[in-house]
Amino acid sequence: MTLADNDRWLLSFYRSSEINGALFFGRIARTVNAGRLQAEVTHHFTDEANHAWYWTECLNDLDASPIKLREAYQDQYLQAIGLPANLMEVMAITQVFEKRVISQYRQHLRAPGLHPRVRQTIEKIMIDERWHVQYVRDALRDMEGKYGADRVAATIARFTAADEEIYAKTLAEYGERIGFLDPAAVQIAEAP
Amino acid sequence: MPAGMLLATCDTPLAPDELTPGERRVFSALPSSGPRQRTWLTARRALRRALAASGRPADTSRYPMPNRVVSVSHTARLAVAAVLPSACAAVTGLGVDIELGRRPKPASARFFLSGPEQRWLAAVPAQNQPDALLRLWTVKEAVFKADRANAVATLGDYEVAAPAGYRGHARRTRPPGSVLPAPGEHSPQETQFRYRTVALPRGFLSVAIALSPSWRTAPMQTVDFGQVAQRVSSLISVPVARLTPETKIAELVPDSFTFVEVAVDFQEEYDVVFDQEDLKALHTLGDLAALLDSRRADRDD
Repeated sequence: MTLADNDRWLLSFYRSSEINGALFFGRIARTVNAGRLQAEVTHHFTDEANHAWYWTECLNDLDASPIKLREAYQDQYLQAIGLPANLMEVMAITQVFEKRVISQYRQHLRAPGLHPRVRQTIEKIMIDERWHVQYVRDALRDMEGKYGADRVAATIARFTAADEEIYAKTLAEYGERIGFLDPAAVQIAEAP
Repeated sequence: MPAGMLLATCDTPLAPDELTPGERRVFSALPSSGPRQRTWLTARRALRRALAASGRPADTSRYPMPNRVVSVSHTARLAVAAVLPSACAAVTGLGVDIELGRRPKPASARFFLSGPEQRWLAAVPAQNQPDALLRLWTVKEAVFKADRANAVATLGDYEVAAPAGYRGHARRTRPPGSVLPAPGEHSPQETQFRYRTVALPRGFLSVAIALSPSWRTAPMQTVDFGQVAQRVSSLISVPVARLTPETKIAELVPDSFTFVEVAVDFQEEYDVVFDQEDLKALHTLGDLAALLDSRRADRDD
């Protein structure tokens, strides 16, 4: 498998995950009562859809058509921690997930030989992702009155622990494809 | 549920020489062979602990069962006692039950579950039925103990509104000294019960209180199944005529995203909160309506 194949697969995986995020947030945007959070969740929904479009355009510009993947990173969350039971849990899982996305994109930006078109796409998406983390954090703070500060904190801690396991599992499952993002793996690959 | 309920557990029996004269009279009437004396003494120690913490007199013989402010339960090795530190005019009885280990046989359901409860249980996945049955057993036992007029009652005389819920309300379907009301007909003076259940590593613990028939002056708002069906129909584009209380949710929602959407939508609409345990226990649309009803009642208490 060539590096280009791995790149194509990873960018397609990003695209698939953004599509799943848009579909999920579209549903949540339909259910949230009118107010500031409704506007923010609807904005988030459009961001995720736009990101999927950015990755589609990026892949097309690199003469690499997107692979039609069914799997997405979010699927593994649902498998590992169950369905979010209420709006607070939806926001908590979103906060953990968005932080993971930022971390992943940052790591990708550090990958050696990164194509400028990929860099441009990641940097554009990162602007939105930072806002996502900020508005979700504020929303969770607002929810402490209704759900209890301890319960909110415990939920975030539970989802954070699950996220670390999920990411480790993802690396193990797709290590061959995304190993080039791991600096240690890159050093080994470059050694004579 | 009053905020001040105290629970105490104990796995060590009280020494017989520590008994008060009143306790000794009860103890001496127990059969000396078998575990009865040991479990009774362990339950007394648990009750003394809870009484001491509540500031009430610690002589347990002063509290005949069923009681308005104390209740005890025990397994082979563990006892639990519940005490209300301060009397509340609305509360007429308190009950607690703990069960660990062995699950009841599904065939036993007909002896202590009402018809609607048995129909709910039948819709629960087979592998989850033993736990659901044990949980409901503890609820029924706690409610039974909370009913101070339970002399001729059996567990089957009580019915919970939402069998899926870890908390909710229950009623006695056969009021003391009366014939069974016709289906759908409630006695105007029937006792209301409130209960909560906690999942333990090997079983369940339930506590219940009985409320005076006059404790609530305003009629309780209930969630109408028709409203639930209408909303589900609009959310997932299924004809409302196809929806009944027995409709299984798993057969209705095509994927987990839809399930989350439905769950969040109802919580937003009815201003209630579900948790993971609630979702695991939701099997039918009837469960959903009952859970909403129960949560809204809790919220309004």
